[in-house]
Amino acid sequence: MNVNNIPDIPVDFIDNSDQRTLCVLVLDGSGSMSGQKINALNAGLVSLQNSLQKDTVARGRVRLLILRVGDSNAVTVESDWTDAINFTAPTILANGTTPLGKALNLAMDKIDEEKNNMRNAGVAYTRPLVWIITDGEPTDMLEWETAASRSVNYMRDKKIQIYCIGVEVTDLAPLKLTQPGSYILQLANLDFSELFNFLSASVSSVSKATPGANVQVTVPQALTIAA
Amino acid sequence: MHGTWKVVGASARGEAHIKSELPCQDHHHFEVFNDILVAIVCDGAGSASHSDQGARMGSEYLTNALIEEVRSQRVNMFQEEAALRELLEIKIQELRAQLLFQSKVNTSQLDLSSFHATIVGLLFRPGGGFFFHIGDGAALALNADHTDTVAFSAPENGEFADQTYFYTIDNWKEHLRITTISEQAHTFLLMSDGTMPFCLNRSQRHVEPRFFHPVNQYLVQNDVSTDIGSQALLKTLSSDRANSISKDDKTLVWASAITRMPTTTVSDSVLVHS
Repeated sequence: MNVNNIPDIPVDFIDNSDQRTLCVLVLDGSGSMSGQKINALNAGLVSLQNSLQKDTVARGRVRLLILRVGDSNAVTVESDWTDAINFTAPTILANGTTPLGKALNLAMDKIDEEKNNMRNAGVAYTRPLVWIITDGEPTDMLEWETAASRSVNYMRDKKIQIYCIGVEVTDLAPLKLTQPGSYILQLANLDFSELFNFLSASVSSVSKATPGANVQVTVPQALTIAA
Repeated sequence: MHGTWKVVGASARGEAHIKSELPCQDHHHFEVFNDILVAIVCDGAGSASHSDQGARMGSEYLTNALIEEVRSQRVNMFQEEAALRELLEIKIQELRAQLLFQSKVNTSQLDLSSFHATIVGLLFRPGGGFFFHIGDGAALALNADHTDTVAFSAPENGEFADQTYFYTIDNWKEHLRITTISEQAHTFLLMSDGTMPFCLNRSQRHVEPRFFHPVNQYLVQNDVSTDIGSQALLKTLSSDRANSISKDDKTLVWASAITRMPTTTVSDSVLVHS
């Protein structure tokens, strides 16, 4: 039958699915990120906001939490859990230290808490994602080792998925504690634009993942695999 | 039209599979014998290489198996859930063996995980019936004026929304769920999970009236044949708006009781696939 002759049923399409994909960004706001690096990172956050909000499905499903490390051993919640459709990219400042251990533990605590909230509200969710973006090693190494060990257990139990992105990091050994047998991605040329495009595509794909499907996103050239 | 039931179904390939040049991995099949209705929707797993076959064989083999039982007047499966479960366990095991046998004959040597697919099934005659269900997707039964959902079979996911169960996994029997449907049921909807976001309301346990009522009002019309109805339903499920909500494959089977007609034996399924 000619498709033009097939009648249109006058339905209203309303998206009633409540599924969420939790995504935590742990961002390095330490002193070494000042200047070009932090400006590029902040521009990348804005492009992440824009690309997610253009995606009619992902903007209702991706739920973001932004944590910053910096100042005097501080972890701040720059943007608490927000659906992408309502997300406004914060401006990350660069000064101070890099307490990534404290941040990773907080990320896992916040994820556990939000999963509980969603379960109570009857909202389905996919496996939460944690993206750590740093240009150096953790300055709270003892807490980092504990947090990394905890995160490895979480990943083994398939509770979360963690990605570490090094920005010209010279010693990758600390970051690799979160990825035994796996790899870290290194960002070349401070190409935060490519990084956040990749991040947006990845989290958007996960938010639409169907049962039994493999989520595949092309890794851009700006990111190299550091084994 | 079929006996005392009008049944219309469509399976639309989702935008995700169109772009990746994969076939539609949803399939549906239905058959009516006298006043007895059997309908099955199967959804193949995206990562399984032959899940379209798993879905197609699942829906066709089980529908034929149940209708054969009906034709042979072995109707114990209508009396109680245990009898239906016993029959389904036998038939699904046969289906699994059939998949492996065909794989061997084709020298592809696939294991069952290559055929991963869910099952959403209905067996009903005036007086009552059952939903049978493995995995996600959903099934509803509505009363005659559509004011009440008299039976509902929910999706079963793991902790995460993108996990579910298939008839091809080792412990499939533990995930076979049977729901009793009372005699008040008049209209049925069976769907794969790609259809749920817009066919069900925010509770995801009742119809979304702004989708269901136009579909129902269109399909019940006497001058809308099952063929035309299936084409129109396929067009709806394939639309840009449907794909903006879900890029997954989408199946919907609609069945409605109609005035009893002179007894006739009709077995037909107008299968519409994109």
